[in-house]
Order: sequence, then structure tokens, then C-alpha cells
Amino acid sequence: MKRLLERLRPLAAPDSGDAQFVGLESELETLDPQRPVMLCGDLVFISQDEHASGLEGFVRQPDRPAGGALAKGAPPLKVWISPAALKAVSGPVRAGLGIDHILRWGLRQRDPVIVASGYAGERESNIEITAFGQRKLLLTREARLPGMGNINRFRSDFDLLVRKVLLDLEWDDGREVRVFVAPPLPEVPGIEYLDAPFRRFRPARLSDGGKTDSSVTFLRAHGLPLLIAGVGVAAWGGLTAWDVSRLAEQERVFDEKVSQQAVRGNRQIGLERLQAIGRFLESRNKKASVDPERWRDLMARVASVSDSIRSFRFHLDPKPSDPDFTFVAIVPATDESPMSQGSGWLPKAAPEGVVLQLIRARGTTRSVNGGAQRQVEFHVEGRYSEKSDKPGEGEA
Amino acid sequence: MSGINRWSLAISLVLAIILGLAAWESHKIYNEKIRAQQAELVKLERWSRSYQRLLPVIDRWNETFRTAADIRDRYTLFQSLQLERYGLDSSPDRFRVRTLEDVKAPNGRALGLARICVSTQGGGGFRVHAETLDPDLLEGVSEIVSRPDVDVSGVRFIQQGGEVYAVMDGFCIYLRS
Repeated sequence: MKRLLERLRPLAAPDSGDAQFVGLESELETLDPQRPVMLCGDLVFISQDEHASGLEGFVRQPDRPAGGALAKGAPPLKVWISPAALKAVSGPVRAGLGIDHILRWGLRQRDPVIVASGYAGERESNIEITAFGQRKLLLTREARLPGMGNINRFRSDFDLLVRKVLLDLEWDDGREVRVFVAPPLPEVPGIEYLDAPFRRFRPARLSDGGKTDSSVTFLRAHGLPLLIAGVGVAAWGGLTAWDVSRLAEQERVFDEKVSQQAVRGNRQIGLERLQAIGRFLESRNKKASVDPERWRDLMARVASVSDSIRSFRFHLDPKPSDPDFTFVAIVPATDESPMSQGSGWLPKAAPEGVVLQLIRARGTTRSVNGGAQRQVEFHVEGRYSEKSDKPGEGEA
Repeated sequence: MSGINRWSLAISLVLAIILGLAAWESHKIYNEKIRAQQAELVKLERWSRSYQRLLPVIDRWNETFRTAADIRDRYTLFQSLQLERYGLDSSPDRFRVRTLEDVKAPNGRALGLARICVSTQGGGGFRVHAETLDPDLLEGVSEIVSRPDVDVSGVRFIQQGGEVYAVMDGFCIYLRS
């Protein structure tokens, strides 16, 4: 019978997703490193008692929630793992906890259920009872029962255990409570078998209690991602900082220029006005300065052929129709008419480069030394011929 | 690659991509801003160069035109003509201001310059005397009408009854206001 059980057990403890259930320290040595490891039985100790301190040497794992976030009356489940088991799965082996799989299923149950898991030994079984209801873990209990070699003894002790649990939960009022046996226990005739939670292997992150530097594992898990994120942050920060500094530099240069301008242009004359002023100045400076020689030449010439000059008028800004100058010269009268005397006199008065035109000739009388003297006034208009752009109007 | 947390890796990759895209977007915006700022600077520098080039204009302006600040009345205006510098003389008692107007640029803006037309005769002429016709009157008058801050439309030299004088028609002087 023993031999039969020995042979039967691996068959009876179904694998989940190819995982191997390991519940005894002795089995740790024969692990298949290629397959996931499901820790259970003696290698895992659980308790919902807040004062529980675990087994000697066992390593505390993160607490498992025993209900939803708002669940009342479900203290978190404390978990400890045998150091030997931790050591065995510390390599590249994927490891999960049986209790995690049961919890995951049990916390979905609204109706009362009792799940028996644990480990069926040769002569002895280590049975782990968990009870769920209202989507909460309500109770855990560990019990040593006879081995499954004597299935009848096992069954009667198992029934006794279940009844005690029902009593403790006050579920003994006749309500319907479903009882399951779950892997790695083999199927027990007459009891529902629960292998659904184990169909998919879910690895657990196991704490080694700080024996290895946690930063090393942290770095291994998150180092590259952190590096990538860091490069992203650095690229973003660097590029943005560079942009900001370039813009700031541009603005600084601009402000500097503006303030230099403000200092230099302290006379507060706008560019537009400055340009207008410049143009006006230019027009003023273009104004030809008057050469007195020209006047002098002309007046001397006219004076040399006349008795006197009444007036000499120079137009400094003549319109095209205006003469450049006009003068009134007085000469003694001859027998000729004033106009014909004038046309004879006029060429004598004209210096080179000047065109004269007799506008009016008038005879007058002037008393000189008691006697009357007849005189003629010539009113003459003159133009500088070199200024004229009319080709026919040359020197007379 | 074993041991790397896949979630962590995915989040970091997404984060890096988002940051990269954000950085690129903001980089484009910054580049635009910087380009605009540079364009402003170019404009300012162009303006500045024109301004620098024109700054000597202010000095020439101040040299060319006297300030009106010292003109308090007709007499000081008459004195500011400084006729004696040209060997000329006139009669301040007859000195009148005919018109006074602000000189405007072609765009209609005031240049800060006043054009003041003066006369000593009813017809608008400004009569000046000198010792002799030639050279005193000829040279003095030609000098004063050549001044860039003076406008004269015509000059008459007149001999009458043994007296020689000149009348400047349309005599106007520009003063900085």
C-alpha cells in the first residue's frame, strides 16, 4: 500500500500549467529547474492571527489581502516560507505559492466554501483548511491528519475537522456549505475536487527577508527601465533647458541692444523724425550759395553803359516764367524813340552768358543844375543763358 | 533580458516616448520663438544702423539752425539775425514779423522748426544798408541770403537820391523750436 501511494502521489497531485508541487524539504533537492515550482505544505506557513510570529527560521513574505479593500473582519493573511525553499527557488526558477492560487479563487466566493489543501504525506497529512464567504477569507486552520494510506481513517478525521470548522464559523445551522479538496491533495472519493485555481500558474514574488541586497534585485528588475526613463527625462530636460537658455540668450542680447539704443538715443528723437530732419537739412544745404561776383559783373556792365541804375532786382528762387533778374537803367535820351534807343542800347549792357529783354522804355525829364535833362528809363529782364534749357535761346 | 520587470519596462518606454515627443514639440515651438526673436533683433539692428548713421544729423541740425529758446521778442529776433556780422544795418524799429509757421515734413509731422518771415517795409521787403554798394552791400547780402537757415525770394539793389540800399523780398529765417 505504501508503495502504491508512493507511486500514486505524483500522479494524484496534478500539475498546474506544468508546475511541480513541493511540500517537503526533502523534495527540494530533486526539483526540476525547467518547470515552475508551486510551494505548499510544510514549506509554507500561513496565519491570519495578527500576533502570529511564524515558524522558527521561516521568512516572512508580504501579507496577502484576505478580502476586498473595504472588507471588514478579514485581517490580512501572513505568510512565511521555509528558508530552504527560498534558497532552492532563488535562481532562475519560477516559483509560486499554492495558497496564493486558492486565495485568488476563494476571494471570489460569495457562498460559504471550505477548501482543504496542504500536503498528503505517506503516513501523515498536513492539511490546510481555508474557509471563504462573502468574498473574504474567514478562517485558516492547519491540522495533522493520518496519511491517506488509510483512507477511511483519513476521511473520518477529515470529517471531524470540517465539523469543527463549521462549528467555529457558526455554520452548523444547516446551511449549505460546499467542501473542496484542492491540489496537491489527491482526489478523495465523495468530496468535490477543486483544481480550477491551479489551471494557470501564477508566480509569486518571494522575499528572502533581506538576506540578499534588495537593491540588487530591484536594479535587475527595474534598472534598464529606469535607465530608459532616465534617458527620456534627460533628453526632454536637456533639450528644453537648452531651448530655454537659447531663448533667454536671444532675449538678453535683444534687451542689451535696446538699452544701448536707449542710452545713445537719449535725445528721444524718433528715427522717422530723424530721417525727415535729414532730408530737410539736405534740401537746405543743396541751396546754391549766391556768388556776389555774378551780381557785381552784371551791375558793373550795366553801369558802364548807363548814366545810373535805379534798381537791380535778382530773383533768387525764380519760377520758370520769371526772369533771373530785372533792372531799371537810366540813360540820357537821344532823338530816337525810347524803344528804338533801347534796342540799340541793350546789347551793350549784356555781358556774356546773359540774355536781356527790353520790357519797357520810358522818357523822363530830370532837372540838373537848373536845366532840364531828358532821360530814358529802360526796364529790362534778364536770364542767364547757361541756365536755360531752351535750345533756341542763346546769347543775343 | 530575464529579471526585467515587464511592466516597468513598458511604462518607462511609454514615458520615454511621451517625453521625447513632448520635448520635440516644445523644441519646435522654442525654435519658432527664437527665430522670431532673431528677426526682431535683425530689425532692431537695421533700425539701429539707420539711427547711428543719422545721429550726426542732429549735430548738423543744431549747427544749421539757431534755437528759438533765446528769442523773447522782436528785438531779440532782430538781433539774432546778426546783420552786423555781414556788415549790414537795418532799422529795428520797423522790424516786423509777417508770418510764423511750423515747418512740416512731407508726411505732415512737425520737424520742430519754425519759419519766421520778417520785413521792415510795407510790401514785405527787408531793407538793409551798408557803407558802399560794392563790396559791402553786395557781399553782405549775398552772404546772408546764402545762409541755409534763411530763405530769400529776391534781392533788389536800389539807388535813390544818392542813397544805396538793398531790399530782400520774402526774407524768412528758420529757428529750432
